[in-house]
Amino acid sequence: MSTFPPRAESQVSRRQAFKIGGITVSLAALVAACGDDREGDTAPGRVGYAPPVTDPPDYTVDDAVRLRTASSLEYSVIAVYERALESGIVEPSSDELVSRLIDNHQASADQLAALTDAEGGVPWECTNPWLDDRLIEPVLQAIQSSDDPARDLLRFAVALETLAASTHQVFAVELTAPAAKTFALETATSESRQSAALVAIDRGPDGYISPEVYGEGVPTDVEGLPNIYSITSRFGSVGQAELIVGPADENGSRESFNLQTPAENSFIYNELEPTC
Amino acid sequence: MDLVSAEPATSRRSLIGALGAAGLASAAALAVARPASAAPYSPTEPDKAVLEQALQLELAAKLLYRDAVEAGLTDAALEVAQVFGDNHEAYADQFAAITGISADTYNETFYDELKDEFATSDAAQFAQAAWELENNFAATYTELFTGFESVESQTVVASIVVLNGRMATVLADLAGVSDQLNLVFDPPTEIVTLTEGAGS
Repeated sequence: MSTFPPRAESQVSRRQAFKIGGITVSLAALVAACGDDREGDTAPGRVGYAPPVTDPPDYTVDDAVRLRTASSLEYSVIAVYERALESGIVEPSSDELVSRLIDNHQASADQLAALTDAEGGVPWECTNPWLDDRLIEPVLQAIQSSDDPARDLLRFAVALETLAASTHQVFAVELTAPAAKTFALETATSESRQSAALVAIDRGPDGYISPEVYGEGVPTDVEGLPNIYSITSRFGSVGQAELIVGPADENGSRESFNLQTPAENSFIYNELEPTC
Repeated sequence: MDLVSAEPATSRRSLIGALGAAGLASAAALAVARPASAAPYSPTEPDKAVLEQALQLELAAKLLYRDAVEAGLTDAALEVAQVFGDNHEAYADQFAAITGISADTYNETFYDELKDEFATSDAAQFAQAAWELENNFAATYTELFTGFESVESQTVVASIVVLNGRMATVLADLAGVSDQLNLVFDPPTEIVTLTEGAGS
């Protein structure tokens, strides 16, 4: 069985992070309390280590940008499915389904490319670099080390299909060209079907309707993970979604990731050059 | 239509009966791209005319699911019928909220056309009838989508269409055909006629 490539950045466990953070905060408070006749930068102070804040680029967001961004999402999802098939995590009985999902996303990407071209843009045929770095690679690494990679891969697939559907739902309203708007809505519906089908095929009637629909909490499975459902709300949500995957630590906690529809920091602007 | 043997179809009824002259004129005018920032936020009068018909269709769907519940469905089929009926009532209420139109009239013609198919305690028969309804609603709203002038109309309709797709998928599984991927992902659809008589 092949493996997903390792994550590039160094690893610091949450427990270590708390310890380091606690010491840093204590020292910072001590220094602040002793400070007198302070000079220098008046910008808000920063405690601990965090990447420097960068402003999103000041580029135009037009139909072509939204269509290129939608394309990038399709290619990112395709790449996940292809790597999943290559990894051997996918059960042979699910090969046909996964292959069909790849075909569906490729067909969407092809149509999005044609629409981009029609809007005077340059079709984007690569994955979304921002999404790859901040979501897909970390999640795949967590799945790789999970106690149940197949379970986590299914959860990731459901979350990605929902994210893609939400993105197209948003773009259907924001796009201006009628053909692009209609296709975005068709794709939002198709990918909603795909998300729902993954759950329905795996869980059957137990996974049809989430108690969230009734305003109740989501029950957990024997591993302590929230159950997944085909219907999680009465209206299509475009809000942030949480994905929990990976191995449990000594406290039974697993890594959590937030999925958000693309925004200014993850758009594929017309000025960006292909990354593939 | 036989759920098991159905082939993807493209037959769609004309929208002429659905929208009427005023609606068609509005839809034609809106076939031209409009920057989202230039679009009005709240539903315009042409939007309201179409949304009122959509509201009546949603109430008819709610009644159809109610009939299925009362016909004696059990277990998962019963829960599906109850929740999906409530969903359609919520969509009618949402259309009422954004248009100011009372949600007290249903599309009687549409209801009469389908009531016998929904009034069943047979889960598979119910699932097939409801699967067709959800797929047809999704196709109808998608067809109408670019005709809506306002951001709010489009936002609400988009949030409903994706649920039509999810509900159809659940119903395909309930009918036992979720292994037929063409039916699940590329189902046959027919545009629903919106205006043909009303009941209350």
